[in-house]
Amino acid sequence: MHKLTLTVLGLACIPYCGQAQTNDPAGPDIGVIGSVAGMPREYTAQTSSERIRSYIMGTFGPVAVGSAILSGSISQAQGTPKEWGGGAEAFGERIGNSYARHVIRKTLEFGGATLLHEDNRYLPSMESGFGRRAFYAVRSTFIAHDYAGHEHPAYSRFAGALGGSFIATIWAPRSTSSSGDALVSFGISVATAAGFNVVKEFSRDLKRRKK
Amino acid sequence: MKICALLLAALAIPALAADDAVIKAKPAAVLWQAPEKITLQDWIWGPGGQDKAPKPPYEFIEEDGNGTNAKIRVRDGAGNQWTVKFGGEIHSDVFAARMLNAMGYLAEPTYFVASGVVSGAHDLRRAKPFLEKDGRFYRARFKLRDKKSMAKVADQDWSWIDNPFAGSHELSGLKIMLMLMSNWDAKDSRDGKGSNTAIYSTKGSDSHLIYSFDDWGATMGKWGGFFKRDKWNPDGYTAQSKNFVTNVSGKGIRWGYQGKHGRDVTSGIAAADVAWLMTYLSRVTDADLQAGLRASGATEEQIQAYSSALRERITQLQKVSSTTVATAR
Repeated sequence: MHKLTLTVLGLACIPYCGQAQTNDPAGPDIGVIGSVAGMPREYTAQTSSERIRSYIMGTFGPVAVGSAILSGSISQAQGTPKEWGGGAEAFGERIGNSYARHVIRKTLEFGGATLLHEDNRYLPSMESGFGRRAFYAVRSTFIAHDYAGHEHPAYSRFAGALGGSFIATIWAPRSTSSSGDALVSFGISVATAAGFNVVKEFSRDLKRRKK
Repeated sequence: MKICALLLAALAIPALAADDAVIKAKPAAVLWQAPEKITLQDWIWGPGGQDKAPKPPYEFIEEDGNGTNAKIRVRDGAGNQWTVKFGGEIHSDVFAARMLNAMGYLAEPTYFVASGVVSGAHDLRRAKPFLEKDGRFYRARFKLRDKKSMAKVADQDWSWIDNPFAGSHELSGLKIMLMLMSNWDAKDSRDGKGSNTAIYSTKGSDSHLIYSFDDWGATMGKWGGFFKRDKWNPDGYTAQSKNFVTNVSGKGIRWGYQGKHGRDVTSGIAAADVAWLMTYLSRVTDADLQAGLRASGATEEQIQAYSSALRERITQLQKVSSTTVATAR
């Protein structure tokens, strides 16, 4: 399990440089002023209300609750932590544990992002090809944007994931309350975020096909 | 020669008297003026035309702390002052100016600037991330600050329920334009400093008060409440288009629109008002819409999505308008 954490931390070292391509077809004589050559990819910052809305939906919305139920179900099937045993009560505890960790993580992330002016949204890639797009999606887990769209490491996301993992050890039973357990939990949470990004990237194709 | 002098004097007397009357009379309130013949060039260049377009180099004046988006003020190479906005409202602002101008409502010269350099920028706060160290910027909305021909009247404002145009085609037409472009930020004088309505006074002998709705940044996305609404979102705009006009009956027209003061915006619009607006809206071609969108910095994909959705909404208005004509017969 510690290998997973190391793998995730290793991925974090992937250089985050690289410019996205422009998708603007603008040119002269169409009412657009200035040169369109070399324009970076368009980025639209969220307003304050949009950031609050994202936080509320991401923390208390149906996907968040569904993920907590799924995570609780996996823990129940694995019987971790063992002190909680089995049965409906234990199932509820595991879901509650997972959801509490999520709320703490998202709240820390939101606070950090507000302070640091970070945008942790996933922005779809402009790449083509499965490998490139999958790499972009995983790489995006480690990248945030400032309000003008410049890339930098996603400090608030990692602070949230790390904080959520360590704070959850306060109520965790002895078998899952060590620092190593918190780091494993952190690694899982980052890997899950990467997985979600890959799903987001390729679910666009399904939406297009439906249209 | 004497006859000529008398004739000139005789002509001058009524002219002077008329001037005197204008000075004494209360300025007329205007919400709308019949649009002159709108050409494709008007959709490309907007209300200011190509002549008024910003001309580099741009010199920094100050940062503007108002509103939700980062803004700075600059002076261009022609000496004109501009409010430069960055962020998520730039495309909406530019396109809305072209739509309003084509329909006869007040719109200021507004342009999409793909890139440029602002010299002398300093002490920036919100605008800091949008300017590179050498002053280079990408994607901005330039709005002309024209204080020579008109000025905002301080301490005077209007609301959707308190204005001199109640029950007029012109006011209903403005409400329809608001809904057509999904502008959910319909704040008015009741919202205090956040009001998006304004009154302008024109300068010169033909002085009048122009009633205007000023903020079109929150447009071309999804209408709705706090958890639903957004800006410049072709998918969301398209998805809601089928619910633009939801029902037409003897009780009136029902609109899908939701936004600030939504009830005031959607109420009081008769089918005859729609028919009046269609006099001008029906002249708008797909090529016009696409030119306006392209000038706003939209991508080709966005242009196709928006022009189709706008056409769908205009068709729904056309159906309401046809109902009126049929009823009248």
